[in-house]
Amino acid sequence: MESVDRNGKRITDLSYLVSICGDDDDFKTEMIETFLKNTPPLINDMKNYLIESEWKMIGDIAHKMKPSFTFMGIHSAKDLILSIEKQGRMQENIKEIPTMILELESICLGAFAELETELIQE
Amino acid sequence: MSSNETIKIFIVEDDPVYLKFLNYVIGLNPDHEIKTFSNGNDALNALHERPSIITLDYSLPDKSGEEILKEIKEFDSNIPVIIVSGQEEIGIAVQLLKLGAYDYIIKDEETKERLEYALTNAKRNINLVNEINTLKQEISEKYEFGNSIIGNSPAIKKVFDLMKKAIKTNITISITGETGTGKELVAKGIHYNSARKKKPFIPVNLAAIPKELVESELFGHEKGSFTGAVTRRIGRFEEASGGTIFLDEIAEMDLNLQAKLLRVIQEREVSRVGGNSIIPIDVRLLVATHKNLADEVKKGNFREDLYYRLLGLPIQLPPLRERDTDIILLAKHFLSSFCSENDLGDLSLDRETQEKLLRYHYPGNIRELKSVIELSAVMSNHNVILPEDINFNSPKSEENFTYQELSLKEYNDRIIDHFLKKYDNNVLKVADVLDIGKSTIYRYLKEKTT
Repeated sequence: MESVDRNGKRITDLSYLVSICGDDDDFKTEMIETFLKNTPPLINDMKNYLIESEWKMIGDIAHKMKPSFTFMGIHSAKDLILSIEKQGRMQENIKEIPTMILELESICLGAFAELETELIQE
Repeated sequence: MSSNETIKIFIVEDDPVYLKFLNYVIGLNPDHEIKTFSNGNDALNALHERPSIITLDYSLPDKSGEEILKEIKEFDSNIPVIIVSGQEEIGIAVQLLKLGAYDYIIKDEETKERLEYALTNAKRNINLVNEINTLKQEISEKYEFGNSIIGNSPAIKKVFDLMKKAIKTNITISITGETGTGKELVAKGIHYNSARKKKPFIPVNLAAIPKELVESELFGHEKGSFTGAVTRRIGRFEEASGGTIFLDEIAEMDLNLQAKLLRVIQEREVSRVGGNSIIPIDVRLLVATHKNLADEVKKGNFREDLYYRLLGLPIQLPPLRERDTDIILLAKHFLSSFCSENDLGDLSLDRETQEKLLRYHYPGNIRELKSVIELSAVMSNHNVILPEDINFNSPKSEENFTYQELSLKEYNDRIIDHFLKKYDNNVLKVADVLDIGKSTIYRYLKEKTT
């Protein structure tokens, strides 16, 4: 069963990951599990830094998250995460950052659900 | 490191997802032994384990990629460091490449292919560096004094003593000696036993370069500086940077160029032909000639000021005829090398052959001896080289008889001695052949015994 976003589209696209590992399902599972374990604390860190107005730290976390989103094919978050990185590091339009973090969290929650389903189906 | 040898690769990456990815991709090659680190300090502390290649994330929790790269390069500048980073700013990539990063790969969907390509190139580079180091080591061993210059005669021992002094400093060395006495071998021996041995040794034979090209050869030229200068060319002095330049047949240098060489030696800088920039040089100078430079100065062929600049530590190489039993040592060495290189089995020198070799005066010196021995090995039908296998074909062999300046009486004695040996001391026969009275021969023999 496929999970979909609000527009009815899948959030994750594992074709890039599969192109790397081929039929090595163990590696695919490990990558998904590591992503699921590693990403929620990073979003929490972002929210904590939001409270402290540590914009540069928020930008750095976004930068760190970016490559793993590529593996999970979360294309809808690509521009968003780039904006958080850039605006956080440059401290530009910081008023937009809280909304962007919430939007990122929302996309991630959908992605987590899809990936957990993927793991069950494995 | 051959292509099938295990190579140790450090992966320095703090993102657990990316670390897993890099570990997987790099680990696809079973020859890769991987060690992972999630921060810079742990990786730096493990450098003593001598990784062959390091992949390094730019943004790490404890130190920037730039700092870590600098420390790795300080530890060992030969370790290829491949930066794998999410930073897409071109300025950062350029800065890291300037600091010595081997490659800069951005984390995107092409990372796997780029990384595999970079690793393949890095390994090829490591193989080449290892090969160069092995060859350098072999050359260095080849030119150790005892290995390259063979002999234990007092004359050659004097040369060894001077060479030992020469390797301790950067003093200019002027090597003189007849053709074939091994001037370049001595120059290489000095370079490869000196502190500069890991830097280039650049030999330039000034007699072998057309006069109009010598300046460009030595100092280089800029594109378009003269007809035919289609590209910029680095000169031999620049090529020898940090090492040694050996100017053979220095006496053949044109007077105009001598003035330029003098300036280069004094100022320690060169300027390419047609160029305006001044390039500082750190080069040790060794020169050689078969001529007497002092005589060339007197004749007006060589600048006096340059002569004194170049004199430095003079090393006069003895001609082979003054090296006594070195002739036999060298002959045996050349014979053994030639036989081994050509799978000829073991050949030795007959006693009479050795005597014949000792009697000759070798106008072509060691080069001539080598050639004579190699020819004898080819001509020999036995496992021993016999006197008849030895053929001296030097164009100067007519000088053999008169190579030493002797009195007429000494020449006479030498002729008598030669024929007495030839005819087993048969005085009557020798007197007949030489058309002299037998009493002359008896007188000679009497003088010889008293």
